[in-house]
Amino acid sequence: MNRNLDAKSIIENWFKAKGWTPFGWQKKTWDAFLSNRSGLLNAPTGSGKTYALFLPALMRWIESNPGDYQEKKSNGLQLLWVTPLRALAKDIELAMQRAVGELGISWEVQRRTGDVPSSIKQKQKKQMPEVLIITPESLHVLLAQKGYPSRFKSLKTVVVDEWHELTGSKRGTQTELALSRLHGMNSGLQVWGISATIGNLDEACNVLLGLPVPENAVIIKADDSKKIVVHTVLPDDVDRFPWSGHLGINLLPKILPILEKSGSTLIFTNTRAQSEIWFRQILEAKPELAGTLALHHGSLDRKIRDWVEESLHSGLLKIVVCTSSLDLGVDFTPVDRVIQIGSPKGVARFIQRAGRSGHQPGSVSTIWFVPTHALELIEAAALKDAVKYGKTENRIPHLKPYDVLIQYLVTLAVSDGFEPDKVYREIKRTFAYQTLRNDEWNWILNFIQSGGKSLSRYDEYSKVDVDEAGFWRVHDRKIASRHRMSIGTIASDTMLKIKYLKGATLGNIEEWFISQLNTGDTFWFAGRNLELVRIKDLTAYVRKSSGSAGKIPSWLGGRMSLSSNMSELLREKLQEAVSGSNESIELKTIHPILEIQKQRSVLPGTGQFLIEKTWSKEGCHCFFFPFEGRYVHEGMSALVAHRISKMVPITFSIAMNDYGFELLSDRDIPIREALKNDLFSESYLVRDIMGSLNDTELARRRFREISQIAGLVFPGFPGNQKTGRHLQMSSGLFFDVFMEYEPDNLLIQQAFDEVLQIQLDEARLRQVLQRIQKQEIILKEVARFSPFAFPIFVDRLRERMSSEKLADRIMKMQKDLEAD
Amino acid sequence: MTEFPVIQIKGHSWQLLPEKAVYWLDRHILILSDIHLGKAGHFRKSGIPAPESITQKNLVRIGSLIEQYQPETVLILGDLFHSDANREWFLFETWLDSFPGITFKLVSGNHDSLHTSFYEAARIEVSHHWEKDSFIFVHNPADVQPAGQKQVLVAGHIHPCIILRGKGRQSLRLPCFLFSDDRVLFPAFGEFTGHHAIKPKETDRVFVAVEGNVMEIINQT
Repeated sequence: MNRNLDAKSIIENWFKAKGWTPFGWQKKTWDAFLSNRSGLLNAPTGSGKTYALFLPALMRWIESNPGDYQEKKSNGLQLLWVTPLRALAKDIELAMQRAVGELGISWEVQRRTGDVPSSIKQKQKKQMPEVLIITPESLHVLLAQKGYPSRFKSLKTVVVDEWHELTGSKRGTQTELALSRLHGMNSGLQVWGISATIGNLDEACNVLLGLPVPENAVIIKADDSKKIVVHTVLPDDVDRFPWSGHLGINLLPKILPILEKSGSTLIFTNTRAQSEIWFRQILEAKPELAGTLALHHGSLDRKIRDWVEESLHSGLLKIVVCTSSLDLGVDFTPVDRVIQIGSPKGVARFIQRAGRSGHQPGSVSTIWFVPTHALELIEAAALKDAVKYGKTENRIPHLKPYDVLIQYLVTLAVSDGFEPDKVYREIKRTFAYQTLRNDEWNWILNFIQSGGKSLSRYDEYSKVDVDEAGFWRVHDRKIASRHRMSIGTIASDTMLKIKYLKGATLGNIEEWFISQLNTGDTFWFAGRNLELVRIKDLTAYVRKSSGSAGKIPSWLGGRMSLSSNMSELLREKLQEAVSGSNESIELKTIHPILEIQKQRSVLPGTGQFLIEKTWSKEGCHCFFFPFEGRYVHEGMSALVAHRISKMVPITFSIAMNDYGFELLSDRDIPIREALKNDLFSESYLVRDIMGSLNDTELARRRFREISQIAGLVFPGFPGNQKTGRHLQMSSGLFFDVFMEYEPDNLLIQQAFDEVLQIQLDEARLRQVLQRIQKQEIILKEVARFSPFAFPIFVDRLRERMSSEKLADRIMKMQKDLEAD
Repeated sequence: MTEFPVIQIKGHSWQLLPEKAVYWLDRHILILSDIHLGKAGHFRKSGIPAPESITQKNLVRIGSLIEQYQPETVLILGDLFHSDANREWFLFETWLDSFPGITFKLVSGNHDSLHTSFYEAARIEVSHHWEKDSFIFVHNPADVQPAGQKQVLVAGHIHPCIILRGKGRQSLRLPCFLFSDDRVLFPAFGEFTGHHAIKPKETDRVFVAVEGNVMEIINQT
């Protein structure tokens, strides 16, 4: 290597020798990096974003060690690369090692994620590699190690990859907190983020860099103007196309010809269960695909997923049915086409998935959209607009999640201890905790020290203690090790491992699904028909079954909601269908269904708000159609049910989808009277919602995650969950107990706040109510379920709300039974 | 107090109480199950902040039952204390001192793992199971076999609850007593406990505690 060259030329020559030309935005990023600026790089997956931020770190190294940049070893940590996905870490590691190796630099590039062997982790404790690739959770695990500051002594730069994936989640908050500590140790720390296009890039940059945002911070955009072509798979006979459902299997015959085309195909489904079903159905329809068709979802064993990714890479596999598990990926091989089954729910997700095909510069991405029921044809038309205008969603950062802060403080107490004043100053610089008040901070300190209110001299609460020097520490080794095991913000159910009797592991499945099965029952998992042989130590042993097809596991987990951008597009399309101003093939196809809607009820335009009332042998149904997405409907239905239930004692069961919601009761729903009483009024919105929340499961469900993050619910040691059993109690019980004994507990308040701000999206709910005020409300008594109402009616997943006395309800249930 | 249902069983009268306990009228025995005292303390000792007032509340509930019914004996069907001795045990011991004339009996459950000296010091009579008249009391119903049809097994451990369904897709989940031909299952008395849904047979009788009363659930199959 020529030592007379400057650092930049050395790297650029290497780059050119590989036949690559740096893009303008890559060069721009190199310059900004080298002049010690922090910032955000807006670049899509597979665009060369890794080298945009890794190579300048090498340039700087060469520049500051011109004579011996190749020889110097064991230089300590220089660059920390945070990535949301373990799966990505490996690819990044390889790409970086290749560069370092070819340039002859003696840097170590290593990963530190949950799947790295502990022997390597031990070595890293003694000698950090120059580059460490890490997940936010593992970064916190490092902060939980004694003597951690020495390991970050020489750190110059942190890069947070796929920041758009993190910023709207508690993992993002976790990243903010870790960065605040690294900043606290080194005020000159350089921080970069890499993000795909989201609606609020500027805000995302502020969240990453903390407050005050450095004046010379910069956002660099990679120009990415790839053309996306959207095709909709249309049913031949829309009269026989189902009005409800989410599987979409009936369009399979129309998809098989697409699969026959040459080249590779990714089929995105929205749930793991759906991917299993599609895999099986394709194989049954075309058995000759065995060997070139594979399945990929988050519950499959890592080894199986790795194999699938590699085999797609090598061309061995032609078709992969997957879930969001394949949404990300660095050097993921482009495929020839992508198929999306059912609504992608958001613009950004759809564009990202489309982008999986045709990666070559200038090439076209092709995505086929497969509607799973009739109304999704309207969404299909909306998706085409979504792609055309590229209006991607915002990722709203969390504000003040107490649970994450509690976990972080205990993390610091587990390692070297912390001084509250110092940490307080650090976290006040984060976006998430900039508004944290003194009284909240004191409550949290008290909570980790004395477990909330301490009532008696009998109390033996122990977690964090203050030592003579004023450091807050955890002394109990058991508590410390339990805490280290439970670092993270992704709540999980107890999972059972699925394993063949002979040994190979297939993946994980939620305990509750397996608990419904008896030994000898068959079920479908990992694309195989399996027979349950026995359950032992949280492992379900299975053997292959040749018998008839068994149950398909469904995984718990929130159903996604239509984003506000998508719902807006949907309402526009619906209006176009009403006014007949759009001639798109999708709207033409759905026309007969909309005619039925018109016959049985009304086809509402944007100036109208439709409520349908009807009776069945189950009772009285009222359907409301705001077209605002499931989450907003969740809040709105609770609000409406609460307001009606204040008028008369009544019990509701509530269902919803992305188009509307249903109130069902065993007695007449006084909807007309309720409308006279200003049912959709915006006044007292928060009070009424809070009132309704006490009666529903929403807050309790939110508390599930909060209680795990804050360390109330201990998921158990891996492989040895039993030892933790006597310390296990469901989050629901905690919720009940706190509600009764400590309703002012901040974690309980957080649960309610999260429901209000995040889940129900109070701001959006308010907008909907304002819109309804301007609309003409049409209350239509209908004889038969309309095409709009039917899919909601058949949904079995329901919320409940009641203002009747419990004893009265039991009496009534018994009477109903006797009458039957 | 007579409005609460009284069950005739093997020639004896048992009154079901809304506090999820039974008063055996003929023998003046108050029966309750699965109290799980000390659970909060156990969690707190391990750094999990369960509110500690639960133990006190459970003791207050038992105390008011004793005052109301004046039993000679209090029989606990196991899982009296959730964990190793913690300070809540001593709180419990002090509390026991206020009922000097009453015999406390415990058929030990899987959680009752304290050294016998603790129970001795607290004057609690402990046995694996206890036979009286036509009844055999035990914690886990799987642990003993009743001697033919003459005997009825009375047990806790399961924390039974029943799911009721009604029109309009309504459903409710309520802790319950279950009376079968040959056995009786008690709901958990403790407030800090989970439940297990049962499916009663047609001949079973099911009772739930609701809003200060006890109701029989008929025909829920």
